[in-house]
Amino acid sequence: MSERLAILVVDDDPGMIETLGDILEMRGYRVAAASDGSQAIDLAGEKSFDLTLMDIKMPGINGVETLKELKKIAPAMKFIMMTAYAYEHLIQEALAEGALAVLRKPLDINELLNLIETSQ
Amino acid sequence: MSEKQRILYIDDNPLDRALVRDALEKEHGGFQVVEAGTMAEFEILLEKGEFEVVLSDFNILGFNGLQVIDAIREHDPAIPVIIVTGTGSEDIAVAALKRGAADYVIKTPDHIRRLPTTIMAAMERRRLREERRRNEEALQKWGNIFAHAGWGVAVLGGEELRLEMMNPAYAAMHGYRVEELLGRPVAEVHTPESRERLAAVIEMCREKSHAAFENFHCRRDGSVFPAWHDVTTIRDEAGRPAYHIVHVQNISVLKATQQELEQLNRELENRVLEKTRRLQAMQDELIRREKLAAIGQLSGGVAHDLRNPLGVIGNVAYFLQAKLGERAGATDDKIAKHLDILGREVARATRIIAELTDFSKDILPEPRPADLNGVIDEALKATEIADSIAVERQGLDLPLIMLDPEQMNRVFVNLFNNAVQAMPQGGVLRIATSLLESGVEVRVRDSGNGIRPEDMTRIFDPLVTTKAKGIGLGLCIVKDIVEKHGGEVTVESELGKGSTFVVRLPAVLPASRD
Repeated sequence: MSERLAILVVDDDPGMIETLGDILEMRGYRVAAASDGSQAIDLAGEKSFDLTLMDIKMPGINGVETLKELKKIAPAMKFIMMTAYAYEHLIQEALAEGALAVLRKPLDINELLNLIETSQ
Repeated sequence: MSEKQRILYIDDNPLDRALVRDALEKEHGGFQVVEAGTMAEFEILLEKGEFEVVLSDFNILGFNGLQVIDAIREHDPAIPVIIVTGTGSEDIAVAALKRGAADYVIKTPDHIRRLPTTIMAAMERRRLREERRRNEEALQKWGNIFAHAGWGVAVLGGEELRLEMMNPAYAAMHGYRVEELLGRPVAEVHTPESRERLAAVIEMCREKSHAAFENFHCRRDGSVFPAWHDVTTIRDEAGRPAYHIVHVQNISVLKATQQELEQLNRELENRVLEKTRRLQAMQDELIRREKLAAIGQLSGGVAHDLRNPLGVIGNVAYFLQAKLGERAGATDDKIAKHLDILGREVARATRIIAELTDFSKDILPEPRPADLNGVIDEALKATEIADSIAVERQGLDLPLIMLDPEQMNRVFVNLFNNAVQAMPQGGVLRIATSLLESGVEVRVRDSGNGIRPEDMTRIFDPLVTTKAKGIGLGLCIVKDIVEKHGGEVTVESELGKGSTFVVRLPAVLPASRD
């Protein structure tokens, strides 16, 4: 990993942010976290991220809406979405908006890491 | 006698008329006399006709007693005519009687006194004659009733109950003519088994005079018919049974109708039972569906909500395992083992959640042409089967049929998992496919523990499980999917020998492309 990727983790579950953050840092990534969509948008305005790992279902603006906003701010940003729920239309919309994948929770971490590795 | 008897008296001698009237009206008092002195008067009174007896002198001016007799006979032959003649006129009297006179009176000094007695006697004779005539008429009618009755009627007499009289119907119902049966013991037209009963009934009749019962009669050709009897015993003056009158009706039609009615009743009852059963089944199914829907809703929501915390736990396990791996040499076997278990259990919980969420999806099958055997092969691959279990496949050729391969895959994965779990000590899993007239059939047989009879009816219900593991949705899902495909799933099981699940699907063939 020559250049350390900057990853933004967005989830309303603090446990998820915490554990995912630790795992990604352990694997050498730079990680920032946001607990909802608006916070993520704020963060993206301040810093640049290579990839956003984001839950679809969140209070306030959902993951897909946030994705659209973030794309405006950072057109080069990649997205991997996560969901515990089978909101088919949101999943399809996320993919249509260019998400690399929509992963079901609980996450298969190895699958996630492979995705991140191959995303760049 | 309160009512006076009206007498028509014909005499041309006014003196005689006065004497007779006095005698009848005043001295006797029981009569009212109407007088005619001439032929013309007689004819007028005759027209009026209100009299019971005619009393006539024989020699009347212009006509005689014989003409009176003729006139009366023509008018009403029942009215008695008494002729009064002079002494020494026996010839006339005989002639009058021959002509139809009821009586005659010879004129003597006191003949008038005898008139009331003579008149009364004539009236009495008339009364008796009429009574006899009525009796004869009645008797004739009774005879007709007897002869033409639809029921068989017979008179049984003597110790042997011989047929002393019978009507044609009685003889005919037994295939005989009356004269052929006359005098024969009635037992001869009864079946041997019926004779004892007949004897008992007659015995009862000797005491109680009446009995009604059912019995079997035989015809001349040996055929038998059921008959209804009504027996009445007629007694002599001393009260001893003199003879028995028996009415017999062939009730085979009645019986047949009754049996038909009973049959119809039974059929109706069965139909009602069947209908009730179907309604019950429909209701059970409805309850099952409602239960399913409720569970689906609940489990769907709960399962999704569990995915988040489970995800966090999974992450923790991953992180700790990775950290532990970094510390080479300092590996704590126990911690590694426990983290391994943690990871496995998260995976298992995830599978259960997948099952629950799948279950909560009420998705209609999307049938497409598919090879059922291919679906079964895929399902076998997806099932973890211990080495101790031998898998046998039978009957491998099936045409392509319309089904949803993903959903059908779940059906067989569930069935194979169940089979495997039923054989913890190993055994044989036999899968046989066959083509039936009405569709295809897959038999999934295990050599496991079998299902207890009390569990058989509920194993397809949701949340019913007999296993330590599992939440009891597998078979429920199987049933649901198979039924959505228009098929059915049944189970046969023998405790200790194993179970066979039979999936039957209608063979809907893909539309051919010519």
